[in-house]
Amino acid sequence: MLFNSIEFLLFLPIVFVLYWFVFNKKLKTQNFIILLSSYIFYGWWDWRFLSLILISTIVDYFVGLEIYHSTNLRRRRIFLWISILFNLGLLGFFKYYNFFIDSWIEVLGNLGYEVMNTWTLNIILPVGISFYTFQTMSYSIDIYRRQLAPTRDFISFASFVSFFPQLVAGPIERASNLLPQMLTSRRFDYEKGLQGLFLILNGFFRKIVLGDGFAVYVNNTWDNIETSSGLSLIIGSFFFGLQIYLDFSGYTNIARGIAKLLGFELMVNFDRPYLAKNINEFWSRWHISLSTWFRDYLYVPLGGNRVSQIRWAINIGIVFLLSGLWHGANWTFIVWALIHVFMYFVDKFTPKLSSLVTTQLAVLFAWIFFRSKTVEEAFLYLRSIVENDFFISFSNLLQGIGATAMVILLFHVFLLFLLYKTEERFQIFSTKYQTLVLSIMFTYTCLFFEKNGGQFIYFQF
Amino acid sequence: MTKFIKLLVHVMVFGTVAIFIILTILEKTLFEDSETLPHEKVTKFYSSNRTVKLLILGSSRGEGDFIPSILETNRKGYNFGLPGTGNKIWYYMLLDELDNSISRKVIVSIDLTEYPIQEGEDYNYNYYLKLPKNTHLYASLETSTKTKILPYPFFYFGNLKGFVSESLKDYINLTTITENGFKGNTNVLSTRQFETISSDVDSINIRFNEKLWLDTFERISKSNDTVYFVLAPTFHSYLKHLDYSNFKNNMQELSQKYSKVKFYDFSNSIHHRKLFYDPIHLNYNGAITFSEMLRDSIKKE
Repeated sequence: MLFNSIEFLLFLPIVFVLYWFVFNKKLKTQNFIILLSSYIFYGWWDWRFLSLILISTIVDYFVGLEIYHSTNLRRRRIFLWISILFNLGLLGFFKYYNFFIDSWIEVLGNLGYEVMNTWTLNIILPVGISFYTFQTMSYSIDIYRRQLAPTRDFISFASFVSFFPQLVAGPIERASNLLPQMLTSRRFDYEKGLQGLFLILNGFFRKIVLGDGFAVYVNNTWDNIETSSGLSLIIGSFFFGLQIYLDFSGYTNIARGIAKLLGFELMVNFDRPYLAKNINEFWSRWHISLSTWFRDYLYVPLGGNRVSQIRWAINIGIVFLLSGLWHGANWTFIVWALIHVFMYFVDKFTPKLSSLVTTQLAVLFAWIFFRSKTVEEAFLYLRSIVENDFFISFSNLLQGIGATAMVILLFHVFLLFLLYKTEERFQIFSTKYQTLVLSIMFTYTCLFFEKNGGQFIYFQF
Repeated sequence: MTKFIKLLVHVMVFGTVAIFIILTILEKTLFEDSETLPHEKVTKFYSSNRTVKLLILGSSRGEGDFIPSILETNRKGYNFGLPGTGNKIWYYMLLDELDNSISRKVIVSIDLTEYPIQEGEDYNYNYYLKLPKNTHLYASLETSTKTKILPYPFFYFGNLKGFVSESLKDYINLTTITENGFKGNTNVLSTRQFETISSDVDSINIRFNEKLWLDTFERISKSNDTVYFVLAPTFHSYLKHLDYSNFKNNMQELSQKYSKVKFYDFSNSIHHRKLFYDPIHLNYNGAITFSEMLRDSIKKE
């Protein structure tokens, strides 16, 4: 089920009413409602893949208990590896199997060994698998590190794994944050509800009004790389940077808002990443739940920065490469990650070169690879910026979406600025003013809602 | 919780009232006056009164190649060309026009596609949002299309962004000129874009569906209208991919048997690249040139 669908607009109020008005007496029944609604939410897309979530939940539930209660280090380690291998196995099979087979056959082909490709399978990528497998792995690792006690309450644990607001595109929650909330009785809090409503409408506004607005131009540019002017292509990549940020941060805000409506707090996932002055800072502001996951469960165990410089550089390379691969089984994500690695080293060794402009230009450059279907397409895009006529004509520059759409889009950039200002002050507004702001956002979102609106970009990961 | 529910109700009520007010303002100031918004064009077509003396039907070529004020002086012509509709919608609109008792000229721009009259998919259901139900066009729609057409104002839900953007083009678009339903591009595609469109086309054999054309011509002969079927100019680099000689010969032969049916082939009449927007659409200057040529040909009859 998509957040920006009519089904979800009916689904959420039903869940809200059942959760707070019908089954509000006991924590267990409330958690059961969360679990049930999460499974309906996920099964709406493809019910067959519910089995994957359920198996992952069962495995990590028992593995967690075993790790915690065992005093034998070897046994604890074995169970930890069971959890890690199981989750990475799921992810590897559904997300990377075909990629590695294809790449391997290509390598053999380049070496002169022609191999018939009878190994690739017609695999559907289950939505959200990258998110919930990382979430359950962190649960087992935290228990192994004695940083978390496992729960015996299976329903609460299953609700934590499949919590529908963040199930398919994050934030990737830590068990230490979300699980205790599942186990604590919840009461509706007006302030939290108000923040939740603001975040939901804010998220829809970002996605539907702004993100999808930029998407029109971006899609048109990428569909017509060879015939677009150099300037159109540069604007297209710039707009993609805005689109992916508004799309993903919009999703996160909706997720956080729904969680607040249900009495939960999810972690902040974005902190104005395009104000970062170096790549390190960018990653502390962009998709924070993923970057901190890699920091805590990969970078630090590899030795972090308490190792030799060469080893540190290798660690950084590994973290970024895996982060790139996490997004998808495609060489474009690897190149995207390598550009970030390169910039990371530039920041480290020549910090004077780092600035807001150079960092954001590098980020923008890397987005071209991220958005392109293949590395060849990305290079074509870059080549066309240089080789195509740069201006052609003003009217041709606008032909992709039309001058009016461009005017509306620029107006939306202004609205984005207003939105930031409102976000900062919303809590201190009077109730009347808060109602007005929410009404405007509600109105705007309804007016801009598109029946066949695009799905969130991060759903594909 | 009560305070929150109260807030929710306030937001929903204020929001809904605001939505209705905005929709009404948009409807009255922007959409109803729009020269080019497809569903408003369809509405205008079915409510067009006797003062309209010339109707132009067709797809995007119809819309962008035929200037009503040149083809019909006294500004009594209207261009009902609907972009992206191929040869389907104009056919049913023509049947609806033939059913009324008003006597007028109808120009039909035929797209050189495989079947120049065709049944099939309904294209964008947005075109039919205000379509009267007792029409040939409505009857031709697939059930799935009909179920998507919601009553006012709900049909705007999910579509409004496109409507606003489209209708604003009448006022602030920098690259088109609109007039009585006509929408002409003032620019030319870049050489590369132009050539890509020309080279991407596969060879098409244009077929003549005798039964359908005969039936159409019979209906025309029984109506009060005179109908001019026109093949609009196509750039030679694109035209060379089209095999339409059989279609053209049949049309010429058949139309001569009906006094109220005229057929004009202008497909190879303009060769200046600067008069085309792309290989199959004229730009504004091209539309002026072509409309004058067509007007003179009609006058000679």
